[in-house]
Amino acid sequence: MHRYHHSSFVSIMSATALFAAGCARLCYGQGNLDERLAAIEMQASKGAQLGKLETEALKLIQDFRSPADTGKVYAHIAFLYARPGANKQPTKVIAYATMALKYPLELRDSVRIYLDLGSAITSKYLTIGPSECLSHRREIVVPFLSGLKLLLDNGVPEEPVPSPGVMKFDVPPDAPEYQQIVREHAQQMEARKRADALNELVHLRFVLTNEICGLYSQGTDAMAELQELSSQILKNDAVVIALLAKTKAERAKHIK
Amino acid sequence: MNGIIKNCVLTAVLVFLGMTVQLHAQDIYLWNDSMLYQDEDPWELAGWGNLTASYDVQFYYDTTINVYLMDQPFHYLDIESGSTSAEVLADVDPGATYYIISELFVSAFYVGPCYPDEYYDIFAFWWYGGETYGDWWYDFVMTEPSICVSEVSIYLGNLILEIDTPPRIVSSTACTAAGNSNNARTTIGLGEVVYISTDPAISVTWSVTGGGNVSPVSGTSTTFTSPKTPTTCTVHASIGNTSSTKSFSVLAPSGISVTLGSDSPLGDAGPPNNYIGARSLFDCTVLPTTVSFFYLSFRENIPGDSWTWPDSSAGSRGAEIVPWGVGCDNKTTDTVNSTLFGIGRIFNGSSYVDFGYSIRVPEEYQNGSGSWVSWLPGETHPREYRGSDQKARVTINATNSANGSWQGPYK
Repeated sequence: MHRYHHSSFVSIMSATALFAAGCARLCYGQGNLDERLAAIEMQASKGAQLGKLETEALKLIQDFRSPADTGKVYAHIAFLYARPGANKQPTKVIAYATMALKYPLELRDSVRIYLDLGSAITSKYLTIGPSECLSHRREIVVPFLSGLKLLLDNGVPEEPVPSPGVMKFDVPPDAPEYQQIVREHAQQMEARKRADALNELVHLRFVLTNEICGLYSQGTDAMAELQELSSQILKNDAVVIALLAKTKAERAKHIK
Repeated sequence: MNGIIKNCVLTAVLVFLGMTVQLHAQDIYLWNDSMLYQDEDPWELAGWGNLTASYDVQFYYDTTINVYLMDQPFHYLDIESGSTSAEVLADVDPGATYYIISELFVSAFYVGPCYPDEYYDIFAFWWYGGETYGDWWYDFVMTEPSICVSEVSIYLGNLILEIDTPPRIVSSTACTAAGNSNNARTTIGLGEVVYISTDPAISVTWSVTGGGNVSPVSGTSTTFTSPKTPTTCTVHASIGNTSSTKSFSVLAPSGISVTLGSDSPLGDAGPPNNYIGARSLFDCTVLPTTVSFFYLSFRENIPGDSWTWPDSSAGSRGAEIVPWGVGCDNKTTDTVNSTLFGIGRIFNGSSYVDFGYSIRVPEEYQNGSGSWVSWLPGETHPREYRGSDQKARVTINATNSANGSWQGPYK
């Protein structure tokens, strides 16, 4: 509650702007951290200047001081700069992702940060020249492997779990069966939400695996380096063997 | 050697289906072309070195072109020679750099008197028109008077054409659509997730135009999430000076196909006949089935309806919002329940009569900005009661109509 008090000043100050700029701007100063970060992200999707949004997000650290909240703010700034179109500033992603990883993050955010960090390092070298990525793949692959390690440690499976539909219903609220069908509907909604959340992590595992294999399937053979790094970071023989096999298969696609 | 010109390397130009660089050496024009056959698997790259020469040049000289196709210095994929043209061909990787190099040689043959201490220019390009630039002389000095017979070949220069082949993009939708098992489809539903990668794997920069999102923005693969507004989106994979694109048509839901799944009567059959009503479970499929709407949030936005029963009593169905969603196959179920009413509702004072009322169930989906968009405003769920046997049934009128079975009356 203290946090809301503190932020009320921002709300009052921005009340005038509400009429000119719409609700989303006011929402910077309202709600919990997730809501306020979501409002900033919405502005980013509408093309707002990222530098300004970065400043707005950094101000949130004054209101939300716990390590988890601070990490979340840094992570979301990294996500802002990792958006398509903002990739001309990979150094921003690298800086904020590195800061975010010093704090406790939710699993999904951590893995996304590792993915965006690896991608930003790739961007940095791609701007120098296409072959620069390959010269620095040792540096690029470490975040990808670290993200994969997190997923493996949390038991994220390789294959998605079934995620069925959520029923429609047309039952009058005064019908005796109404409460029962509402409960059943809520259970389906919850099951779907859980399955989707897990499947998002499964998808991240798939993406990270492909990034790692793709990186080492190009250029000169560096399978030994991949084996060394993946063994060192993943500490999971079965996954390392699978990674190497997939990379080898991908390498075979190249003509040279 | 005095008569050899310096290598003439022009700036590489990348133009597919007719890329050309030219070397103009006196009356000889040398140029390279290339063509990339992307319909082949693996891709094929053909390169040509060609020359044309004036009549005089052709009369007095022989020409030779050597053409090389390389993927790195001194690593030759193909080498061919010809007098006026030569073609090289090789399988190539997408997203790689190749070089087509043409070397031009000219041979001259001289028979005639020679005198000591005199210089002879048997190539003498300047005799036959064209500009004279560079060092074109092949000089030789005779020490004794004699008849000279001499054939000399000189290297006039080369051309290097650098070709960056664009990356090949492959895609796979996260969902297999019920009506199209090909996950490489490029017609997708609102909010669909598509995994996109380069094949073979090459690190590229990803971007999207027309809406939607790609993440991450660099690497060998990305995840494209289509916008929740119907449109056409294009995903770009860029590397160096070249790029490839893949376009997706994004469709909105267009209707709901319904079939009766099962009936679930609301009680034990009479007599005595005290209650009327019906309950049926319908199988619903969001159309079109060639795409998936798995990632789209739907809701029934029931506005509420009222009616008057034949016995003059009032009936009503309150407003309600019911969120729902489909699996990858666009399927879900819909339970329609009239609920139980006393049988007297359809008694008009003298007999049981046919009666019916309809519940409006307009459908909406949530777009990218969180607003709800009406897409099937005319869906209705009629309830019918039959006077003759006091049975009831429920129906869904969506894109098509499906009836439940006649049920009841109940004890």
